[in-house]
Amino acid sequence: MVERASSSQDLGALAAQLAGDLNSWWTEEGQDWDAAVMAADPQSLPGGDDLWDDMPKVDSKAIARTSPIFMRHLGVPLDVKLIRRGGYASIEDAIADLVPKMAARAAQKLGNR
Amino acid sequence: MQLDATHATVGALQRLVPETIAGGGSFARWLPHPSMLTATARADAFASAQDSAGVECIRCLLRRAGLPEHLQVDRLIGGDRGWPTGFVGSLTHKGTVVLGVIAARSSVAMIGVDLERIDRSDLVPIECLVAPEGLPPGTDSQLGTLLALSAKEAVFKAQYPASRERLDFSDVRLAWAGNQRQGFRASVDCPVPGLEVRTSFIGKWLVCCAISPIKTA
Repeated sequence: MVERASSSQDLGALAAQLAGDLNSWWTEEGQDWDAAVMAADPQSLPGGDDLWDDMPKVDSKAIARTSPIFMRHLGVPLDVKLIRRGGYASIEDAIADLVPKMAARAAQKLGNR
Repeated sequence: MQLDATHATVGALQRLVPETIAGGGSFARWLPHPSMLTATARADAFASAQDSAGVECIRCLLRRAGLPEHLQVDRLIGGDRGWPTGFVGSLTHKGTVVLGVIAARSSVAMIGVDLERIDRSDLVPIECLVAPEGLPPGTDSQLGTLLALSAKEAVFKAQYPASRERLDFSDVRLAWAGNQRQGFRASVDCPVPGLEVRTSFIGKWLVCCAISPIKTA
C-alpha cells in the first residue's frame, strides 16, 4: 500500500513515485499493441487499419483511466478539468503537465487539514 | 490527400445530426504498415498524418458550408477551435478516423462530437468517477462507462465556447433512453442548458454528439 503524505516534502517524493507508476502503466498499455504489430503480416497493406486504430494514445480517455493511480499516491482522484484539451503528445508530456498540478491539489488538501 | 469518407462512422455521424454538415473519414491509407516503422517513427508518422487529416476534414466542411476552404480554424487558448463567425463546429479523432461537423448558428446553438473505439482498455475502475448518476440502462460497466465518458466529452466540447468553463464529469448528469441497437439518447443537466446527447454504435466504434438545435415553430 502506498504511504500517504504527511508533509509537502513527502508529497515531492510521492509525486516522483506517481510519475514512475504512470510511466510503468503506460509501458504496459503499449506492450500488447507492440506484440500485435510484430506478429502482424506486413503484407496486410495498406496501413494495417485495425492496428493503427488500436495504437495506444495519451488521450483524455487514457488519462481519465489513470485516476486510481493518482488516488493511490496523492489521496485525491484526478481532476479531469486539468486534462489538456486535445490530449498529450506523450506520457512524459502528460506527466509533466498533470503531476505538478495534482501534487499542488493534494498539498492544498493537506494544508486544509 | 483525401480522407476515405466511406468509413462507416461518417454515415453514422450524418444520420445522428442531420441539422449539420458532417464529414470526415479515415486516413489509414496514408500510413505504411506499422511494422515497417520503428516505435518512434510510428508515433511521428501517425501524429503528422492525424494533423493533416484534421486540416483536410476542416477544409471539406468549409467548402460544403459555402465558406472559403483555406479559412484558418485554429485551436484557441482554451483548446477549442475558432470556427468562422456565424458558425459552430466540432472535430474529433480516434485511431485513423477524423470526424467533423459545422453548422450555422441560425440552426444550431452548440455542437460537440466525440469518437471512441471499443477496445480492451479497462474502464470499470472509473465508472463512479465518470457516471456518478448511473449508466445507460441495459449496459454493463465497461460499455456503459465508455458511453457516458464519450457523451460527456461531447458535452464538454459543445458547451465550452459558450461558457468558457471547464467541467468535471460530475458537473454533467445524463438521463438515458434507448438501447444499443437503436442508439442511446440522453437529456443533459449541466450548467449550460439546452443540450441533448445522441449516440450511435457502429462495429467497434462509438459516435457521440451533444447538440443544441435551434427549434423552429
